[in-house]
Amino acid sequence: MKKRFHFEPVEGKALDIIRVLIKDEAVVSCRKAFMALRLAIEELVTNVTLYAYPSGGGGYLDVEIEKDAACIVLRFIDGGIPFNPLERKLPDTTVPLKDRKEGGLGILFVIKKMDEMEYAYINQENVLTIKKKLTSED
Amino acid sequence: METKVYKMGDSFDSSNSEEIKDEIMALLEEGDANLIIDLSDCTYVSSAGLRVFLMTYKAAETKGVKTCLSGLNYDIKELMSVSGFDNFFVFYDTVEDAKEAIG
Repeated sequence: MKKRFHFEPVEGKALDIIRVLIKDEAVVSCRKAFMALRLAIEELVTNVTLYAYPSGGGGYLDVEIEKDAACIVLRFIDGGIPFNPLERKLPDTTVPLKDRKEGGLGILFVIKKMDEMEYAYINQENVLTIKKKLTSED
Repeated sequence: METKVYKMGDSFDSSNSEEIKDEIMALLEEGDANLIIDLSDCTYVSSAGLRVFLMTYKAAETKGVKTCLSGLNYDIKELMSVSGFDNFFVFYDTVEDAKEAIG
């Protein structure tokens, strides 16, 4: 079963959007994977609300959630400027904390914890798909 | 040296990280005391929380006091490890263990 959410406008709405998505039944039902999914949702939604629409105008974000016994798939679709988060330079986690710059840790964790991530720019939309395999503990 | 404990609520993310940052920084500013951040009730930390841990670490270094974390659950430990924070922050199972070690 696939569910689709439509959020518009997104400007300044990150917390509201995150709250809706992390309460979705399919997401909540992933017990072991829940924190990784919640982190992915917070990270990707925040990115869209902060950076996708630099010239304002509200913007939109659609999120599709599909779950079966084997995995959960989330797809984030926005009409903002083309941005592939998978090409972002990741932080060097061996650098001592006192010399660390902020940023990039969220997306690093998402990349490590998701089983698949795919980005495409189609019909003027960013489409980012993440997939997490589920186990008997979920 | 005195030791202070900051008790984290159930989540530490973009919805409350600014507020928590101010509270932790105020504790560090108050005086020369080591700081234990207790996460035993906390089930979720996001990158916004990590950012504040990083700032806390730097602020404690500058002040010359010790800071450490206690009561981390499995998911949060894993987040710390992926971020490379576990090489620099010391974790303890309980506040008592932390107090004994750094007090």
